Amino acid sequence: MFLARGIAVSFSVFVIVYCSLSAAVGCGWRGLRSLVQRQPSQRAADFLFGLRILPFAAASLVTAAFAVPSFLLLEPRQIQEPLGWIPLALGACGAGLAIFGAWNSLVALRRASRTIAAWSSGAQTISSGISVPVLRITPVVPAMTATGIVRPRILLSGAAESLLSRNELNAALNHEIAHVRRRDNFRKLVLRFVAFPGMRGLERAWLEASEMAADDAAVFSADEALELASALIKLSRPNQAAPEVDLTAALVQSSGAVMNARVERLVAWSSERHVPLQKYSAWYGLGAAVATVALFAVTYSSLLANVHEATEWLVR
Amino acid sequence: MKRIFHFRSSAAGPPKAAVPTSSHLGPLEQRLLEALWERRSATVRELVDDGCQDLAYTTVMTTLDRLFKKNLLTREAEGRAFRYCPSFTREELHRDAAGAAFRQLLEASPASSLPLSFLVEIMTEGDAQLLDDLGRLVEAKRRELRANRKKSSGGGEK
Repeated sequence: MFLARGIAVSFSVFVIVYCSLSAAVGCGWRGLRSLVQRQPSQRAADFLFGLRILPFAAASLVTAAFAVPSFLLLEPRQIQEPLGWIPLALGACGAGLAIFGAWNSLVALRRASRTIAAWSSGAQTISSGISVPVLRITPVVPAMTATGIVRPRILLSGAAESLLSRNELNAALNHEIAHVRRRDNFRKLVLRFVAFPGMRGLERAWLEASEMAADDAAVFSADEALELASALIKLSRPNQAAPEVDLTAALVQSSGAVMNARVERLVAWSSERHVPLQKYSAWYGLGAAVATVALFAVTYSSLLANVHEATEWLVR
Repeated sequence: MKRIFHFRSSAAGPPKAAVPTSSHLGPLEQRLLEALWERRSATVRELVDDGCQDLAYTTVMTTLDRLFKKNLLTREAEGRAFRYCPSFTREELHRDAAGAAFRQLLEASPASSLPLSFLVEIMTEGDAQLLDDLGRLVEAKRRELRANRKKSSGGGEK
């Protein structure tokens, strides 16, 4: 009974924090759009992804750091307290969310692995001299796509290889490598796990930002930017455009408007935009960590008592 | 010939069965409909006093009555005048206009797949046109970069 009550209370806390924060992010993220657009594309993409997973991360942290310890440490084990219907319902919701997330991710993984296996049958490895293996595939579409999470690979269709010039091909490969380095397919899997209604707009914004971030990471001069723009245009012709497939990052997958914006950005490329992101000193991080630990050391016991009181109210 | 009679009360307006098409609205009708969408509801006097000062009272009144008869407005008696409200939102009307056009297109041919293929063709042509435009943009930028490079190397030689 103690264990069942603990699980129900923990899931209830998770659901309350998760749903409230998700609703807040789903409604409020558009307000931050103008702020995000002023940032470099890589930072914008990271910020949007962080915002998208913030409800899950925060709810997990609150549950693991406060709800579970407060229950284990402060709840008397001998008392046989009956469970109210609220924690039961919320606990069921939490379990449902976890099961749905896991199922959603597994379905996406299975679908992606099937599609990738079909694309890669009879594929040949190309010696491209880059860190990620590149496979030449026989189907015309996808023209070029980064696949895989643990062992990433880039699939390149023979048709696209013959269509693109050497420079265009290099620029396009750099774009896909940027997706691999940024672990965009893994991030897509995470989004599958934390699926929540009302988050479509934010996820689309992140996808667009991640494409632009990969574009920016792939080019280092105006000439390279034009090569990538040219490759995008060539591979966007109707017979080359790829259908959207789970957990892959195709070079040309975005809508017409996003494609247009990407090409225009690349044409207007300037060296000023390609300033490397300012790296913050590790001392800042260490300082913040020490301050947080110190703050928690001082207030943790009273925080736990407050959380326990709140969960008691919830159970009653 | 089968005739259908609609019994319409002036207070409640016509029944909201289907969204009528906006494709044949005149410019004045469109303008007044836009003004009503902005305000949500208005009397003739309110429209004439605010935003449609260039129009005569009788012109606004006649046009609103025409829109009411086209089922695009509802009206309620307010003193000695009517207060008009749009029957449909802007989106509903646009969606219906597009739907009517597509239906007309589909009914125009005995094989329903044929007009759809025309539609796909038109969209593909649009995409191809956009890609051609973008291609020209890239080429123009390339030429500009080459010209700048030539200019700077020429300047360096001098």
